[in-house]
Amino acid sequence: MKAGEDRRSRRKFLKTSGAVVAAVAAPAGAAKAGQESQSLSLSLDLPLLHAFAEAVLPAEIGADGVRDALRDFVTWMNGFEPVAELPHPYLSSVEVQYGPPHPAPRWASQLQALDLLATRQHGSGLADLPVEKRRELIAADLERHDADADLPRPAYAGHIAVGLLARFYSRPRIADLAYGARINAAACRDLASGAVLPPPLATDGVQG
Amino acid sequence: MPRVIEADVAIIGGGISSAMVAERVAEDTEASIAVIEAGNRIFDFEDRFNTRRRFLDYGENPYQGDHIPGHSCKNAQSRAMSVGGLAMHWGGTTPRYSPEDFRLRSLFGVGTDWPISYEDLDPFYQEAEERIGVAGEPGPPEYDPRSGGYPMDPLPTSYNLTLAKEWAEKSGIPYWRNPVSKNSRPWRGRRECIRCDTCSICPTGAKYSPDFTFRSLLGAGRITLHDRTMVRRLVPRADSDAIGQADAFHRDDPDDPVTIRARHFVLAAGYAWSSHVLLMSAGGRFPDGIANRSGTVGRFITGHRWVNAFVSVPMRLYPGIYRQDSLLSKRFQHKDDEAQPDGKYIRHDLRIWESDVGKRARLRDDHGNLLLGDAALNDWRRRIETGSLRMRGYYDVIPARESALTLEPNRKNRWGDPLPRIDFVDDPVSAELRGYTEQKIEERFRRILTAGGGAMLNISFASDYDHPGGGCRMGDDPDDSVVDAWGRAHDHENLWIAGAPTIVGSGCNNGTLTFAALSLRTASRLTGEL
Repeated sequence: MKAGEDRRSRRKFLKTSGAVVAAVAAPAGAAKAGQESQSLSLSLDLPLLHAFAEAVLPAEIGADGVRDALRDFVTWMNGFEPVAELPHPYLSSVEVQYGPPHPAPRWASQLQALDLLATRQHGSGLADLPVEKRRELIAADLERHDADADLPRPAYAGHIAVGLLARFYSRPRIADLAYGARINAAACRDLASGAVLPPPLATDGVQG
Repeated sequence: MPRVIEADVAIIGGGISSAMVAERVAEDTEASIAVIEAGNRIFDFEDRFNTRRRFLDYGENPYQGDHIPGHSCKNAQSRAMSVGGLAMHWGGTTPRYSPEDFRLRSLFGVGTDWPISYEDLDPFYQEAEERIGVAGEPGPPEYDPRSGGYPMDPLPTSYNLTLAKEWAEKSGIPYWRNPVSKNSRPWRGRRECIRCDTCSICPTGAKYSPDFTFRSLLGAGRITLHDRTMVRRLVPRADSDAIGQADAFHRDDPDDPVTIRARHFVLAAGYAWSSHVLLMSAGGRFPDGIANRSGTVGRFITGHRWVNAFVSVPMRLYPGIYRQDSLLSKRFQHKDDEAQPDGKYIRHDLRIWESDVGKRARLRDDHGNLLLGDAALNDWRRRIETGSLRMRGYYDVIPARESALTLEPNRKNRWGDPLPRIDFVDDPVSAELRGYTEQKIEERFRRILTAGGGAMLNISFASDYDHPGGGCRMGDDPDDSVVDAWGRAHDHENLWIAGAPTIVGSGCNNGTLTFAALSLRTASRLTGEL
């Protein structure tokens, strides 16, 4: 994809993403999230996030896949409840455990810093760099953050790249893409269908 | 809120043992029944698809508020405390104990025989399986005897476990489906399982949890349920050793005492809080606590340890369809030369689950290189050409008398009551055999790997006990036990203790079904006196 097309794609996403954020104000399972959470995800520069995602996520999923992944990521952020009560650990009597604060402000500042770094090192913002160059910058930033091999739960990700990838790879449809089969993890299903080899994934890849 | 609660039967505690006793007494008698629970009433069924969604997306507790802040038992199995108890969260796994578990002294010369046999408990196992709805397939009768069939056929074996069973049985060790309290067909008003695979928060009610029983009994007007009501002590009558009342308070109004009066008191507060109440009740003619003339209240806390391994196997698996499903083998719970090859006491189960350990997407490859863009997906695809499984063995640990729950005078809840702690202590026989047992189980894992192919990814050994019980163990000798073979306190004719606290040993299998069966056996005797 040429840089010009890239920018047009991002502009398209800019328009789309505004609608996405509005549309995800009350997604399934996000009922507990209030206005505070929504404003946190809105503080992320969505066109910049899109440029960032293009470098982090597999190219194989295509432009539609990136848009879908970002829609899911933003929805997830909008539904996040800071410092939520967590399940009690098994075989432990420790006091009630609570989750982390909202990661969006931390991630927003990292994204902004990457953009500034791109400008200072290359004379143009992250979004205007070729994907490979963006990836190099992001990889260097991840090395500075000493990111582990294992992907954590998204909210615990110290770096926005880890958060995005953790959410992306936790999605059942991405597991299906990797396995080439319709496992459809975490979906309720009739008893018999779980007993047979999952059918192959349709040729349209991520859909389904 | 009532300041005086009066009933024919007061059941203290609101978990699965309480539910079994309440249901049986309600069915068999006209007695009035009051259920007293310190935790909250979380009747959340109608909202479970939503809470399940948030559990999946955000890892949130699907049972918000299922605890009492600042009120915990150190080293207990879980922090949870609510109507339904731990059986709200449970995985619904329902194997029985083995016949050998009840006769360790007679068969192996170790531990203590129960005052009842497996055959004595068998009809109550059957009744518990009917009430909570168990789906299963019988194992080989020499290892897994039962007088009747399972109420429901087993859930169909998942694709992954079908392959895992073929793989594991190349070792010559028989495996069969672990029974579960999940409906393979509609059962007692609850739906058939649709494999949502989040059994700790079952959105359809196909997995049994005690809230269904309590809601049903409340709807029929057969019980009163007093949640957020904490019992502090049991008080004996002035003219006899019978229990006259329980002193309690409502957590919303702790300065205003609540008095509970009943003809019979059933303590069904689990292995930790049952002993806690009895020890808290010390005073007057009972300076060491209620039901504690033997000095064994809180003692002989039992459980089993585990050896757990994740293994890579030479077959393509598809994790994520039904991870809760597991295979079971009781082959090494039996008494024979293969199970105990060196004449030493070793008994354990074997379990197998599907797993994705070592098979998840990751950020770095084996050399530490970052995987961005297509690299991560390609790396993932390469690694899932083979599958992984989880193997585990629970091994029996004989508790010492010093394996005990005690009160910590300096650690108190917000109402000023001392909180309990548990210290697990092995009997010298188990302490001496611990290393040998762990090594033997690891050898058996490797035997399976050698026969079926594959490699050990990692192995770990438990430090504390799982599926604990005890603290009010049953026995025929009042000098060495708290309750008789029916769960009645030796020292108090109208005090009964139900379920987990009464067990003598934990065997090698999950305990909940046994706790439920024991509770029903206690209820069967109690109803004869109402």
